[in-house]
Amino acid sequence: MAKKVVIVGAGAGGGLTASRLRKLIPKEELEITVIDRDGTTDFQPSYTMISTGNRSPDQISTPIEHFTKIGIKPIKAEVKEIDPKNRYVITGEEKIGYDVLVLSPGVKFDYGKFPGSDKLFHFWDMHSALKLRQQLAGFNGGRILISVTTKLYKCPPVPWEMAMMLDHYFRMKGIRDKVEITVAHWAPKPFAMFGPTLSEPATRWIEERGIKTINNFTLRSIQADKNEITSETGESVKFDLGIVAPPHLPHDFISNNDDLRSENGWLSSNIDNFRTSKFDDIYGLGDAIAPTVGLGMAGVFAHFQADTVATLIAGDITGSYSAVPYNSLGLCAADLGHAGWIAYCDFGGKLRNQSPFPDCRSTGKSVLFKLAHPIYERYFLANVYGGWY
Amino acid sequence: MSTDSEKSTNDIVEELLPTIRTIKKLQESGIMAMIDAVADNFDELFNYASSMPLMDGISLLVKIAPMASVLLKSIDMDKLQKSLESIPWDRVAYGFNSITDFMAKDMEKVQIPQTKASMLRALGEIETPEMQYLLNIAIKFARRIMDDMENLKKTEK
Repeated sequence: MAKKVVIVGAGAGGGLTASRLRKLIPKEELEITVIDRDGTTDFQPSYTMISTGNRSPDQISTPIEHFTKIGIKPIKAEVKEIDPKNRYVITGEEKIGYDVLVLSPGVKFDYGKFPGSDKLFHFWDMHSALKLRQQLAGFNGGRILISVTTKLYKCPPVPWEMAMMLDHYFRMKGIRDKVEITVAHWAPKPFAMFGPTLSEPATRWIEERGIKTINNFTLRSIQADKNEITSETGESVKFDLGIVAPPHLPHDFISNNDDLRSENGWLSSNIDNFRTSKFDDIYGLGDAIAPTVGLGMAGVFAHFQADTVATLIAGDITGSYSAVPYNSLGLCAADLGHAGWIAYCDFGGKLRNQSPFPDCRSTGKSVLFKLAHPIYERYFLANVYGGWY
Repeated sequence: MSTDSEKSTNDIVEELLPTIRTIKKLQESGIMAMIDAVADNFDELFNYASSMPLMDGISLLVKIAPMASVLLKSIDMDKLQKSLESIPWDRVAYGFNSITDFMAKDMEKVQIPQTKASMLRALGEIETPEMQYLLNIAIKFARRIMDDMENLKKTEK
């Protein structure tokens, strides 16, 4: 009888785990089900480009129904609860049994945790990126502010990356002199979380582009009616268009479950085998484990975690497969508008607490590197859906 | 003229015939099998290739390329090729091996002197055949550079 793997989340972690498992084990031996709340796999690093009008949703998003073409069962539903002792995933309508469970549900945006955040704009999901696109298209001058509500959010370098993209956007539109772009962020310097090798050149580029930065700015409150935000130290910044990352929190079915959550409320896991601490038939990966294992939230981590998790599960089922060891490299192919930039970091030392920063380097900026982003974008979606993207 | 959406599958297949013939040749030559093996293992290839040394290599190429471009503009490539061909590479390789071997095994044994060397002792060192050999190379090299720069000045006039 075929074993059952249920995967929660169709993003980088869940989507790639599903497609890799399908390649490794035939349908007769393994039944794979993917449950996703939104019903799509999005290439999330391109949400910035949705906002600037350089991508349309169908270019970076694939409906999970395409999984049927490669022998994977898709279910569009929101997971309400997980019963790890009896091996069930409970959605609004169904109770789905499993032999192995892979949890890669990403994060939830809880606007209620930060009053006023729902009144501003952002680009951290498709719907919001499209709303921001409309605002930017009609923006003819004024103050743009980019900030974050929580310390952890998807793609740590993106506030500054987006600022540089907007700089290019308004230069091309011919109204850059009428637009003031400010990034107010909790970090002591732009890209500070990656150490001086990235922070120093990035800070220089940001200055060269005339982008204002307010460092050590930890957001305390949003006064949406006054178009103003205030920091923990009482510093206020006014804006005409506010782009603020909403509060990133773990899903309730994780934070409310003592068997699945770690001490910080996020999903339990580890970087050796990605099994949760209490159940070795449940794997956790992607953004939902980032705060637990000490990584940032980024698709590239989920990508390499999926390689390891899929090969480990295949090994458990067939008893013969050698697992791909976890690659702790972080790659970022950024399109800054005027140029592309590839940054790469080895997080191994940081994960082992041997270094406060990852070991980061970059290729430097080049127009040629603008191509790295669309190449990976296409590869990612094709790879998840076996070419049926 | 028909648009892509109006084309029948037969039309598309007919247009693809030259490509299909090429694919057939690739299949017969075994190249397709190699591509198949790469495609089969691409997930792991992408994972393993995403490494610091490989990315450093790409970075180095990107950073060296503009300098190489400036250099290549002022280099006589024919002359460079002839010169490179006439270099006794086996001797160069032997010398390189000696350097790396020395650095690996003996460099740590060289002590930093605690006292100043006497003038007589320093002169004695200079008179050794090893130092004479190195000095001869350095002098000949310097003379050659000065001659070439002199010739360059003359041609510029």
